[in-house]
Amino acid sequence: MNSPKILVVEDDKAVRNLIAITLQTRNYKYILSDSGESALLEFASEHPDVILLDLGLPDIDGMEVIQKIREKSQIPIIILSARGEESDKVAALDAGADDYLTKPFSVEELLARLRVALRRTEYIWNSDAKNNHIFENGDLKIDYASSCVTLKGEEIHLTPIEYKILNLLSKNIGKILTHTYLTREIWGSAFDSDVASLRVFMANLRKKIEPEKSGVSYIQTHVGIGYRMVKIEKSD
Amino acid sequence: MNEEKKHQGRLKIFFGYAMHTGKTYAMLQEAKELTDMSNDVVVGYIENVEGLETILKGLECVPNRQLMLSSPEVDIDAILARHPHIVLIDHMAHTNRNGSRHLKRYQDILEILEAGIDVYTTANVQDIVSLQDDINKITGEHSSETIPDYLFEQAHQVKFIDNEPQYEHHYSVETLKALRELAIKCCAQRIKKLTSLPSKSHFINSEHILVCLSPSPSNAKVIRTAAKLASTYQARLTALYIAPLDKKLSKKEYQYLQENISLAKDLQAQIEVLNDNKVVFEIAEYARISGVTKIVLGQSPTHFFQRSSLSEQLVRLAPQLEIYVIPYIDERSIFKLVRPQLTLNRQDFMRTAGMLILSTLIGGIFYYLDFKESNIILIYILGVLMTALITTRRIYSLASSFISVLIFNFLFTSPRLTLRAYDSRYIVTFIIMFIVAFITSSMTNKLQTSAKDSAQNAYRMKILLETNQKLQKEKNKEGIISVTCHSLMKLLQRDIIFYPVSKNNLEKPLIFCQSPKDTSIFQNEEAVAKWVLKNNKHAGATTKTLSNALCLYLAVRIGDKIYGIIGIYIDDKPLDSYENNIMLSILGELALSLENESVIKEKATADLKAKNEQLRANLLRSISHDLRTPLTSISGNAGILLSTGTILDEDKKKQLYSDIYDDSLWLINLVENLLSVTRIENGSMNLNLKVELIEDVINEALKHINTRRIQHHIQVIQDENILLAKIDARLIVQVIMNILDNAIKYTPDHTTITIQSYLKDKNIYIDIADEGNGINDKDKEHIFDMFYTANRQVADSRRSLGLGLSLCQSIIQAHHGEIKVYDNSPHGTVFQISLPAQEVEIHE
Repeated sequence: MNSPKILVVEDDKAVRNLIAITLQTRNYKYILSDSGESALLEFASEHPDVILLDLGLPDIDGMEVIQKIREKSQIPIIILSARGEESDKVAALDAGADDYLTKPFSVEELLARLRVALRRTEYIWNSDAKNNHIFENGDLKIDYASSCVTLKGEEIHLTPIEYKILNLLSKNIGKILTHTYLTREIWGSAFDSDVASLRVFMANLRKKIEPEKSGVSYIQTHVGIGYRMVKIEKSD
Repeated sequence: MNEEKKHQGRLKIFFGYAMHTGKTYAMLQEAKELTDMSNDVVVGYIENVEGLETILKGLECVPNRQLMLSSPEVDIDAILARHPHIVLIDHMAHTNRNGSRHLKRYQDILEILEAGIDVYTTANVQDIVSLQDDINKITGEHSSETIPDYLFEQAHQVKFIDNEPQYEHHYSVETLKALRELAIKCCAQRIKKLTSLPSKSHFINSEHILVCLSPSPSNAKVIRTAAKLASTYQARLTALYIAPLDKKLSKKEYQYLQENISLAKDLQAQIEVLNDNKVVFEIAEYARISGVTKIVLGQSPTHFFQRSSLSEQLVRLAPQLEIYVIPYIDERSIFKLVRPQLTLNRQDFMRTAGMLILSTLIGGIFYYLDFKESNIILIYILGVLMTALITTRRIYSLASSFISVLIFNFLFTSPRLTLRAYDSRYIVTFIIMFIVAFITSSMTNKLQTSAKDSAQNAYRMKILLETNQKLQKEKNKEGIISVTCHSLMKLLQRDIIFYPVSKNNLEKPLIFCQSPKDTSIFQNEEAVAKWVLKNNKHAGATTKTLSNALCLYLAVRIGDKIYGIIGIYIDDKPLDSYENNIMLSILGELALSLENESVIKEKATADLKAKNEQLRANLLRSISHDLRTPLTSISGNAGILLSTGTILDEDKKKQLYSDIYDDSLWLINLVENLLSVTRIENGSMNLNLKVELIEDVINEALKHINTRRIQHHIQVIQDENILLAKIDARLIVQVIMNILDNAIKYTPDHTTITIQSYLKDKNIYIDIADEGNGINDKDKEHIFDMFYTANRQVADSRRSLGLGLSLCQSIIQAHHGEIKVYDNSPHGTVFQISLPAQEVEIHE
């Protein structure tokens, strides 16, 4: 496979340089863009694999960029945002972004997020091709047709809501699902009490699919934002 | 009147002495001239356009309205919207149709004047309310369409139109002549008063006239006379009504009283209502307290059975007053005096009869036991006394004593069974018996009345006191409003709506209903409340403005500051004067409490602002110092690497790189804390509360601790249960990070830091324990103070911003939790955070 191409949209020169150098050292191809308009142009002409998008752009709102891209493509979008803008982050994720990075971020973190995003592209391609009824992630296996979940081949008994949550997370593997998104999908509403229920179900679900001794965690918690299922390599 | 406060429109009256004397024409002509001189003049309303078409052609009429026949009343809103310089409104004394905003057209005019628009209008001498008696004498007619005198007297300009009537007039020449004279006199008096009346303040040291109101139609004449007197003496006029406590007014009487009160208001009298039975005493008291100099009373000729007239009693009680007596013949009042004494209450009648029979029975027993007659007499006297106690009117006890005498005579004196008495001593006995009965019955009667008085007074006091006490307990606006409205609702037995007012706008109303039935009665009436707010006057049911509303709307205010609009459901059952009084006192209390509350709030805000300013100033001072140190290190190190990077060996370079990295991390942490500090606004944090899993929060905090770079062992003990709390996750993460950072910073390497979370008594505890040297007790007291650092000797070093723990405390307190510090055993420190646990209802 060709080395993936990444579109970097960031108006701050120093940060743009930092990202460019980081990508260069890992042999990623990259396109740099410093505004929303040029980013949309580059996106249309260059067909990147992942977009790194700063929310605060000089010309158009980052949210608008996300919406315009989502009209055409499911390409993974990682948002770069400053601290203290939790609501912007959540809004961007709800608008279709996949992941976020909070400034200041470390280079390792950036690369880790990129890997997750690329794996997600891969997964989307695969599932599209095979129209899979079986989901596999590490030791976890979900048979969508029979609603059967197994861990290391042993069946796990989930309540309907736990299964619904797992289903949503697995179908969006690599993507952060916000609390609002999850509660809306499950209960059709997003009240505080629903968020509280979600926490409880999530805690129970994780106890079932992530036994303490295994040390594996399929589901990442993003405090104040939401949850995400990550791709785990199969043990043994 | 309020010229200094805001621009008021000026009123010009075209004044005539009879109909068809060309007032309207004169007004239009002047308007035309003004229009020709390019003034902004608009015709608001002309009553009868016949013969005026030509002159009207050149004038603009109120937009969107044909003023011919389609709109029978003045369109206030259209005029206000058009906002001309001058508006013409014909015939100011007109009474508006039912359902209009105001009862009277002059009220429309007043509202337009209030908006700063000049008004030209017309009026006849017949329209002036205080002249009604004179007019009646001249024409023999009674006009119901009147204007208050003050409008005429205080008009900016009055133009007397002295034309002869244009048509065949229905008044005789003599009548017209008399009317003309009266009109001219009126104008002359107005001028005289204008020149000698510089301001209203002259009232203070001069005459004060009191007129007594009564629920009878003849009272109107008394009021008008008093007003005339007041205007002659340029005196202050007060109209006093003493509402008797034990008597309910009939519907008719109530109506008369209301008419008289509104007449007095029109004549610019101040209305006072007192509740008492001792009318004369109250009048004298009021006159003494308020410095009244003259009293005007109405009086019908006294009858032989009246003790003494009101005026005579007043002269005795208040000899310093001048009393003017206006005589009238009031058939109704004579009738009324006799009638209530004659109406027999069935229950009282039965009681009296029963008492007599009982007395006679006992008397009979005494007689057969051969007791002395005096004992029997005593039994009868006791009977009369009891009758006085258990009946409501004196008539029963009097009758009872009389009948007792008869029965005693008939049954027990010889010759028995006749009404004759042989012994003349019995006559004396009868008389004394009668007198005793009379006196006892009077005494008990008085006792009853005063008991009732004091009971009612006590009730009123009790309610006021209760409301007051409750109000004092309430600290916030909502509480104050709800307490007051609830007691009003209970007291008046009526539904109540309250619109809080903020920044001169109505807020969402609070409705207080006795039963949870329909609240729809208050719908569609918001406009009335708005009007009240805008004009700072009562409106709605029982008032002259928007009187079709179901509720009475009043402004809760102190001076010009309106704190809310209260609506009281009336629905054809007007408040009686007692209810009205007590309601006004409660509303007064409410306004005071609301003012108090807003003053306290303002002060608190100001204090807080000052405190925050101080805090920020301190913060800035320490930041500028604390930022400089790491920045110096970063820029210096980077500079060395740029300029002399080539000659440094790898180890040296690595040292410089890691210094830069460490310092930048430290800066990041500092900025995080600063961001949280900026969120402390108005003393409370702007929290983004969500239900969070404590486990997640602790894990998140640990993620930010660079475990590879520290030499401590961090151990996490989580509770078995799912711990949930409603928190701002980012801030709580910050708290845990700060405490962990401190623990790492101040304890030796290779020791263990333990984080333990557990649930106890509906609180979630997070203990962060280290194995360092501990904190001495003196420092423990100050550890949460801002800019305090435990190691004072290194305070000047760059790790000195003592912001962390103080910030932690603010954050935890904002979450209604606690942060404590105590010693770990055998050594070290434990920081304990407690947060209220969230109980969860699971939605399956």
